[in-house]
Amino acid sequence: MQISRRSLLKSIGVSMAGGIFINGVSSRRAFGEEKGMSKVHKPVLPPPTGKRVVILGGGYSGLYCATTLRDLAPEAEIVVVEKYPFFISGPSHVDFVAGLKRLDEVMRSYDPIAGRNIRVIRSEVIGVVPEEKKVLTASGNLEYTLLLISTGIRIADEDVLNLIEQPASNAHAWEIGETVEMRKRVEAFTGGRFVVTVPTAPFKCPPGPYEVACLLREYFSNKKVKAEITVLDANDKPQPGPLAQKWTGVLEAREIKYMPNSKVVEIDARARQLITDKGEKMGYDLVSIIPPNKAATFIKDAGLGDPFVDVDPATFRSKKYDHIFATGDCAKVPYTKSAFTSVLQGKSVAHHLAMALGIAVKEPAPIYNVCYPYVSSEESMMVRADWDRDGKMLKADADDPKKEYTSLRAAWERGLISGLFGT
Amino acid sequence: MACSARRLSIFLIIAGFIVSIVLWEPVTFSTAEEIAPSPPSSEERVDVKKGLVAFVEIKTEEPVTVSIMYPTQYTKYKATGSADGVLEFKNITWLIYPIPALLEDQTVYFVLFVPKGGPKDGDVLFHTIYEDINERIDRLMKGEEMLRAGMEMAVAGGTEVIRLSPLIPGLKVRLDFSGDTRFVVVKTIDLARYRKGVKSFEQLYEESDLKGSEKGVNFSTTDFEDLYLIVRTRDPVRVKSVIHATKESAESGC
Repeated sequence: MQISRRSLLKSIGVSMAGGIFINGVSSRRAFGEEKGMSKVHKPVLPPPTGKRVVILGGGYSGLYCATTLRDLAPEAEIVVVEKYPFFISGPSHVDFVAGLKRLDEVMRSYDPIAGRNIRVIRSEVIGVVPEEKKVLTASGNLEYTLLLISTGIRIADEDVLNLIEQPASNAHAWEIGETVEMRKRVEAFTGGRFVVTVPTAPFKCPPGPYEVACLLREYFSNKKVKAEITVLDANDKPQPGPLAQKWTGVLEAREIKYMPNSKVVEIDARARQLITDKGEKMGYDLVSIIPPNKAATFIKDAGLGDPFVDVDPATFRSKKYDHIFATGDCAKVPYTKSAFTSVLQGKSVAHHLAMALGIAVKEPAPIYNVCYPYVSSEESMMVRADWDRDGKMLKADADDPKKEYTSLRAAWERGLISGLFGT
Repeated sequence: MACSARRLSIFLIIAGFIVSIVLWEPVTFSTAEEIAPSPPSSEERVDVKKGLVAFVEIKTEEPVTVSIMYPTQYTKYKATGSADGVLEFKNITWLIYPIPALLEDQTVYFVLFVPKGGPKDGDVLFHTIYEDINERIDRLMKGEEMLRAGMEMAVAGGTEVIRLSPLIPGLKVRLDFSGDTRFVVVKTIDLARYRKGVKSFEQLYEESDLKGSEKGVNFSTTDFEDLYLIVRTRDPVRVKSVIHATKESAESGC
C-alpha cells in the first residue's frame, strides 16, 4: 500500500510540528490505541500470556525479523515498536535529495505488517531494563520474553559545536525530516559553494555522502546552477576504505573537491563557515553536515554495549543477556551498515529467536552484502561482500560504474520493499 | 601614503614568497612552479594485490611531509603540480601506513616533500611488507596483537594537536615523548571547545582522565570516538604513537 505525496508531506509536517507521539496520522489499526498509551509509567500492553517477542525499530532489520518470525513461530506474540508513523526505504533518501524519486514512492504504511498478526506500536524507546525483561517507551512500559534491538543509528548532533543550538543551519539525507528539508534547500540553491561533510567511520551507508555529491553535481549542472562542490571527509580516504581508489577517480572526474582528514567540529551559521579539527575554516552557501553516527543512548545505559550492542555475530545474541538480541546498525557486528545486510540480519535473527523460543528451525544462511552506489543518475558501481556464519569475511568484489548496475539497484530496492509490503 | 602602503604590501608578499622558497622545497602544493622536482628516492609506488594489506614504513632522521595519493590524484599532481585534496602527514620522522586491498588491487603513491637541509637521497627508508588480510584476521582472532599504525612527529615547541585516528574499540595505543611535555588526550567536542577558546589546556588537563607528563603512556580504546593528543612543550620533542590491533578490535568489523 503506497501513500500519497500529500498525505506523506502532511504526516511529516504533523510529526515535525507536533512531535512524534501524535496519533492519527497513520493507521489506527497499525498503531493500536490502547488505553493509557500516553502515560509513561503504565504498561503499553497487558503482561504477555504466552511468549512475546518485542522488536525495537521498524526499519528493514526489525520488519524482516518480524515477518520471518511470524512464519517460524505462529504462536508467538510479536510486537514492533517504531517511532515513525510510516516506513521509508533508507537507500532512497539520496534519490529523493537528488530529485530522482518522490518519497511517497518508497514510503509504506505499516498496515500490511499489522495485517500479518504483528502488532506495531508507535512510540519512542527510552530504556531497557534487562533484569526485569522490560522496555520503557514514551507511551509506557512493555514486558517481553525475548527482545530484539534494531533501532539503527542515532545522529549525534551534539558532537558538532553549535549544531544543537543552530539546528536550522544544516540538513542531510540521513534522517527523514532532514532529508525533506535538504531537498527543499537543494531546489532553492542558486549557486555558490556546496559542502558535504563525512563523519568518521563507522556510519550508515558508507558510500552515501559521495553519492550525494555526485548526484547533486549532475543535478546542478542540468539546472545550469554554478556549484563548487567540496567533500570534507573526517576519514583519511573515501569510504568504505576498499572503494577509496574508485571514489577518488569518480570525484576527480566530476570536479568535486575532496579533502581527506578534515573533520568538521564546529559550525558558525551566522558567518556561514565550517571549522575543522585543524582549525581551518571553510565558507559555504549550502551545507550538509552528516554528524557522527552513534547508537541510541539507552544501549549504553542498559549495559548492553558502548556505543553498539555487544553481540555474537553468528547468533546476534547479547554477550551479556541471553534474552536480548540486536541487529543492523545498532549492533556491533562485522557486517556493512547497509539496508541489504540489515534485511539478512533480520531474517537470520528470526531463526535464532525461534530457536530461543524452543522451536526447531534450520540454521539461517550466512550474511552477505550487495549494493550499487550511484556515481550519476545513470551509472552505479557494484560492491559485494560475503561472510561466513561467524562473521568472518570470505570474499569481496567491486566493479566499475556501469549503466546496468543502476537498473539492478532499482530492482534490488524494489525487491527489499516488496518482500515486506508486497508492492 | 596609500601608494607606500601598497608598495610595502607587495614587498612583503614577495619577501614572504622568497623566504618560503628558501626554507622549503616545495613551498606549497598549489602550483607547478612552486614545486621542485622530487628526488627519485622521495617517491614510492606501492601496488597491493587484492586480498593483501600492505604496511608501508617510512623512516627518516629529519622531518618530512608525506603525501599519499591514489592514481588519479598522482596523475593530476604530475600534470599540474597540485597535490590538493591528498592525504598529508606533516613533520614526520616515522610512519606506518596500512593499505588494505579488500575489494580490488590498489595502487598508492607516497610522495615526500623535503625541507631545505632535510634528508638527502638515500636517507629516507621506505619499507613495505605485505600480509594476507584473512590470515591476519585469523591471527588476531587467536589472540595475537598486531601492529596497525604508527607515527612519529617532530613538534617544534609550544602546543601541538595530533589526531589519533581512526580508532575502533579494543586497540592498544602507546604514546612516547622524547623530552619533557605535558599532554592530555581529549574527544572531538573538547578539541572544538579548545580551538574556540571555550576551554583552556589547563581546564582540559584538569578534567581529563588521560593526561600526564611522563615519557610514555599506554591505554586501550573503548569505542569509535576520535581522540586528539594535545601536547605542550617548551623544547622541540618527538611524539610517537604506536597502535596495535587485538582480538577485540578485529571483532568490531573495522
